[in-house]
Amino acid sequence: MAPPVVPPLQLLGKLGAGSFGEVFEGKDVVHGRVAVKVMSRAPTETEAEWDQRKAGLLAEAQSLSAAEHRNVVRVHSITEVNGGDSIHLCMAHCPGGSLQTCYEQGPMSLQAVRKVATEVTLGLDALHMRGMLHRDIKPGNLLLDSQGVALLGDFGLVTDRLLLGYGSGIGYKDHIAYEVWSSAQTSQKSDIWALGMTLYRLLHGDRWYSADPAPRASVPAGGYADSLRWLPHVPGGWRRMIRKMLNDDTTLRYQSAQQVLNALSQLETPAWRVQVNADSVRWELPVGDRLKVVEWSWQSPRKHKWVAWSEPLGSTGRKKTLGGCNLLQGGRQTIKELEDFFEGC
Amino acid sequence: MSKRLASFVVSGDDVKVVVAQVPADPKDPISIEYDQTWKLQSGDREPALCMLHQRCASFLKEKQVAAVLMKASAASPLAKVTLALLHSAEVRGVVIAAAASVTEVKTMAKNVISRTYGERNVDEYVKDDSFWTAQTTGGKLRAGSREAAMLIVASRKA
Repeated sequence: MAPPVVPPLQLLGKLGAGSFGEVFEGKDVVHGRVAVKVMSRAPTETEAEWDQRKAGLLAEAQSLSAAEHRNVVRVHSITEVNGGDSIHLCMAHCPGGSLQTCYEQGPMSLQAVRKVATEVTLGLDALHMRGMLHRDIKPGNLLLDSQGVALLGDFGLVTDRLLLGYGSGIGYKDHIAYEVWSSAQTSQKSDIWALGMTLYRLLHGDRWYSADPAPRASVPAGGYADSLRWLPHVPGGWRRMIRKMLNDDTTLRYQSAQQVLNALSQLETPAWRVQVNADSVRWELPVGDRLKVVEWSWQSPRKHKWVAWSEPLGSTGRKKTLGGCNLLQGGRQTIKELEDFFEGC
Repeated sequence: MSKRLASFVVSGDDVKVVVAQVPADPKDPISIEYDQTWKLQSGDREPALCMLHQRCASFLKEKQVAAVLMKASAASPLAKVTLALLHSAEVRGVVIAAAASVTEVKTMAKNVISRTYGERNVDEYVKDDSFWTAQTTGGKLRAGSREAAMLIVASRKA
């Protein structure tokens, strides 16, 4: 038998798995390389509920497909397969992968986080203006295209019912806003909360973030923004912005993505490279032909030390001490001294 | 039928943006939908200008404005050309380019508005609270944004 003139969408290797299905690399006759999200009926879902969700997915896919934006992953098509028990959502392939990988590797630079944040906030703003919500903003749903531009992915796949339902076991419950825990109602402001949580995680990396209790345990009690532990190089402007995004009171949070864009534009972005280890943190900042280095290490919660120096990037020149403590000291004192040091840089 | 217009006034690295719904009948006040100041991103100017272009184009596309009114560059013949003035002109150029990629753009010179709109000059209208009470409705218009809103008001007579 002759092969079909128009071959069907081919599923290739698995790219990853998310809250609501698996993502495969695909080959499409029109778009070439694509990403295909395969979503299936959940074991707990009734047929009526699944039909309702499919209808919602179709509506979202239709509006996304029609409303293209530079910072939102393009949806090409949606298809019902396996006798209606699965949905194939065919989207633009983002070869840069998701920011989950960057997050797991460690803290991103302030410059990189601001770039990503500005780009995805542009996408979020556009979608909010169309009356849509994301409901699932997290590092794994921020994707990088071939030019390194950040795009919002998995838009519109989550409903309020699913947010606090079966799909929550995969980890994104940590991005649920304070008011959603009691009201189960999402809004533009709960998207802004999730964006704030995402930025905090990208700035600190997985090791630092995971050392604290998961937000799902502490956010419902309130006051989460005040409990955040910051890496000392993160400037005050960043802290104020993220705390505002994570304010329990929705009237005190940024009211729109436009306001977030304004805040992002005013942030300082010193180019420290940061590495968080099990018992130390190291910062590096190239300045001209020298490298500034800061090291903070600890032996126990009460025994910390830090030292900062600059050294030549080439073979000539001497190492110069910039600061530090002579004796082991408490963690709080060390963090205070480090914050003062970074502020003075 | 009413239409949605946006106006921009650039001053230094600040961009004042006003969006209003403009009724067909010039006697009806314009309805303010958006009034904010965008600040050029801190740090290197090249990525900051690029981001401003993206933001401006995306915003205007999503707001579906019918046209953009831009305060024209102006300088007295005796004015000294400073770096700040040139930087401000860069910002204005980026906004004009971004807006023109999405919709129709019209630049309006302040002195021309003063000559062609009403009997007073623009600065006098800007200071007149009762004028703005009569001319606007809807969202709050900041006093500092009146010059931008004036472009929209004046365009109705043009």
